Amino acid sequence: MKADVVIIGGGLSGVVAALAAHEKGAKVKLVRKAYGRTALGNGTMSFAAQENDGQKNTLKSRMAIAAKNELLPYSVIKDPLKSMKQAYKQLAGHLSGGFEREIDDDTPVMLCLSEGGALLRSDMAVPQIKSGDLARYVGDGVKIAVIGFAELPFFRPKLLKEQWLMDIKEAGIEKAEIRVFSLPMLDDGKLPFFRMYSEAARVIDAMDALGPLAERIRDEIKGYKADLLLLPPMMGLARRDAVRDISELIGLPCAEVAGGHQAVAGLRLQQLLDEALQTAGVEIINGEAVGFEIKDGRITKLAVKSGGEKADIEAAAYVLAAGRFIGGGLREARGISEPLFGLPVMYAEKNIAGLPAIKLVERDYAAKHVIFSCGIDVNERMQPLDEKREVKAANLYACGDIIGGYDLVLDGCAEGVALASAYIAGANAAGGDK
Amino acid sequence: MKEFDLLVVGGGVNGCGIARDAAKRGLKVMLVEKGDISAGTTWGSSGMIHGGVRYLFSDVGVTKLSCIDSGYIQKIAPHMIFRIPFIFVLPNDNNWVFRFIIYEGASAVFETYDNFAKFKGGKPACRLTPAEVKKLEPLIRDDIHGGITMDEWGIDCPRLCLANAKDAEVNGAEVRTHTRLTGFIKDGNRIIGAELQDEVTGEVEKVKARITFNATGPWVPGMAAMAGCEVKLRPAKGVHLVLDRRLTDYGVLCTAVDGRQMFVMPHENVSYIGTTDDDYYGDPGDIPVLEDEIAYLLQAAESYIPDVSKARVIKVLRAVRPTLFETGKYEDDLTREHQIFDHEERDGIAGFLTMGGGKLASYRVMSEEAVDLVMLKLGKVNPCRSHLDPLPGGDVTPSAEDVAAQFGIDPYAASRVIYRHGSWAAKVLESIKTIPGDAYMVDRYEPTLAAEIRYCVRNEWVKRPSDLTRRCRVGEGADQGMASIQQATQIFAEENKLGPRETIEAADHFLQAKWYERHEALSGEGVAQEELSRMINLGCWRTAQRSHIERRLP
Repeated sequence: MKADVVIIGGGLSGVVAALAAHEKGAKVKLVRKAYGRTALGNGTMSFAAQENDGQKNTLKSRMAIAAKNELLPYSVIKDPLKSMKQAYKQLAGHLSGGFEREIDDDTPVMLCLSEGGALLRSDMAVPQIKSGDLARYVGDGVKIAVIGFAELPFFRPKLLKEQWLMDIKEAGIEKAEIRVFSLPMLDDGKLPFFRMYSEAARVIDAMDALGPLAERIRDEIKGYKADLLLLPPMMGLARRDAVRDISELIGLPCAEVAGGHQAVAGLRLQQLLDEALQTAGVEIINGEAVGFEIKDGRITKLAVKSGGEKADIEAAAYVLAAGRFIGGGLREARGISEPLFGLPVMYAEKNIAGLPAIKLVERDYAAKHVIFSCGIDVNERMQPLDEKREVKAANLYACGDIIGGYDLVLDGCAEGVALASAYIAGANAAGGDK
Repeated sequence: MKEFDLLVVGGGVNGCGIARDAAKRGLKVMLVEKGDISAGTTWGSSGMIHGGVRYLFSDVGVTKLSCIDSGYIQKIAPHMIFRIPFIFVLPNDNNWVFRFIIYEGASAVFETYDNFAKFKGGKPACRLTPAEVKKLEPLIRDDIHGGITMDEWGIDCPRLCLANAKDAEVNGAEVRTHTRLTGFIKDGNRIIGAELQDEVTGEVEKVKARITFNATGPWVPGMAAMAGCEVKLRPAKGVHLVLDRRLTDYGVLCTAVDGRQMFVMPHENVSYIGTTDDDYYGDPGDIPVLEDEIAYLLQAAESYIPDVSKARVIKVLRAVRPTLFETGKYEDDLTREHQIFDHEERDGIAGFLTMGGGKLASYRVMSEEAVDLVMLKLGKVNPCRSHLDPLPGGDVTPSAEDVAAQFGIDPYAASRVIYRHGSWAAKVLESIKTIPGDAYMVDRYEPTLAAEIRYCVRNEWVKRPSDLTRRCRVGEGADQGMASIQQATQIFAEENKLGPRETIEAADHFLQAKWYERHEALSGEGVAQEELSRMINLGCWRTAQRSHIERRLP
């Protein structure tokens, strides 16, 4: 098998790198062993620090906070905001509807209520969540109607209401009001409880029409003049437009709350990314990269195990976008390693490869743990560095979570790093060595 | 000031056992526990009411006592008991003479042990050929000399403690959890009461008691010092690794690299590898687990069951045994005997008694002895009935099919509720009739239903949601509560009408309590699991991340 560029990993960064290389005219193949962190995520994306800076919380002001943390890959990437913007524009162009958003210096943070009772700060989300952005109400007031379904006992908006209100007010929406309504999702009342949101999403998928459901919701909230109607995070998986359709049927802006565990939003995002690859003609190989050959400082072959068979792929350049532990880009087996290329695993300029996890954790759960912040080091062209801090191979690039220096959650910049690094890595991989 | 006949300090199996026995004999009892019921040494035990074959030659008395009492426990709490047959496996290492001696020797031990089996309803030991061993447990390594079976019983220890505490309450006792004894009230050389502080609310309360019983396990020396006397222990740290699945149906006895006896055994829906036994003089409430200890246990387990390496260590149970003080002996050879210290005779401090040593399997008989002494001191006579009357829920064990049909729940979930609550199962599930959503499975690994969580919060002194992990095993499964901690906390918050900040703080505390138990065990695929768990619990719920919450270690 031959290609111009081979991408290892099919999450957000892998797809962005593939699209960037594709736009440069390269023939791209993408090797993926399974869905990873993107598909398991909650469908939101964070580009910069998510702390409330007390100001306008614009992307620029939050990038300035991020810039103070020298460990973040943003210190390696030249003008990260620019690459991020370009990457996002390109990605949004490939994703079908609803992803339009001006990503610019003064783009305010998105504020979406989460299923866990928090006000999530992010920079982008799947359309179903994005339409519930409360940022436009900052300095003003808002009335929110939240629907709970009887078949979803684990979604407890009545209980979350006070937590939401506390956060909303702290974010500067003083006159906020939330009213919770409960009704059965299905009117026959026969269905047992759903065990997870994806089960409920499949029932939405299977509905002939959403009219009856919308009508019951409208009847339920009749008399309450809400600005926004929030639904549980389960409004269809195959059926993409359920939230939009219900919104039109009821005549109110509608959104899903951002889901936590086993939410469907991450799967939706992954599906859209997969479609973007297909449309662009990037071939997806369902397999695992297991080995490589290196000659004169260049990777010549990548060995891929797929369906019990092993094949070599020869390409001009390779992009490692395998993520961290969920994706398998990093591994712990009584010692931490980057299993494919044997790259050093770095934290704060120290090679920690070979150390077991027990040495890399803190006692405080919510602290930043080395093991959840480490990764490989790259140069500004996104080429991984070896132990001597030299380029591992001239035609090898890396992007996304596998680059270390930040906590995927606490630093709030994971998708921003993914976009910027993937865009640079993909473009460089297609552009030939320098 | 409230007045009691007996103030029991310590909510482990001994404290709960003493409180129950004393309350049943008509004493006015208060039980105080600084953390949660069974959260100390009891929580770190192997969960076995075994007869102590290990002590057969060093302490035959301990073995006999344990076996007899094991029989009683089976009668008073039949619902929470399960059989664990063990296989002693002899590998084909070393030469045949050595193997012959070890095998015959072990055989003789187990056959001697059979003499006590009648007391605890055990089946006699049985010699197995290598083929028979492999047939029973295909995961056991090849190349073995043979095996010998031994019959033991397992138990849900936190539930055993809880049932004792509950029975004490039923018989009029007051139970205070998360309440620390901060000082004694003295009248000359007599202890006449104590000052208590609620660890959650900070409230202070003074109570009077004619006798104060120090049943604080490894905290015994500290408590005794507070009363003005010295009790020496030789505390020993014991560590168990918990694997994410049941690897075997039988317990497998192995010999570690240093010749010590160890085991890999199924427990509930996980497996335990245990145990270590090392001198420990640190804080019994904050026990670090070392890399070496984990490696030592895994090495031994893997050399008998290679597939142990494919399972995931999800947490490390750690506890300190309050073994009696002796010098010049190895930790393993220390006696498991118990001793009751009468400080009036010993140190001239009246109204204060202490229990040291002992083991889970004989908690009941030790409690009986303790209460006998208390009765004598108080000049009261009333015979012990703790071995005759069933514990709460232990009278009849309902059928899982019936309970499942009655409440429209999964029969397996029903069987777990029955396992923990016995005949009280219907009472536990009652809320399903008024709150249909309570039939929802909050923790799918156990499984634990919302109804059981609600019942525990209402009736079983759940003052912090992390207590639920001992009540109904929330967060004890393979995902260590990734998906259930927040759900369980929500039910806790709903029942206690907590405000938003308190709810977040409660969830935060639960997450931290679980992390304390597993952070040293993080390895292999577990790191990916943890990455996912953090995305959910810190990313979406974002509880611990909120800056206005002051984080505290448990």
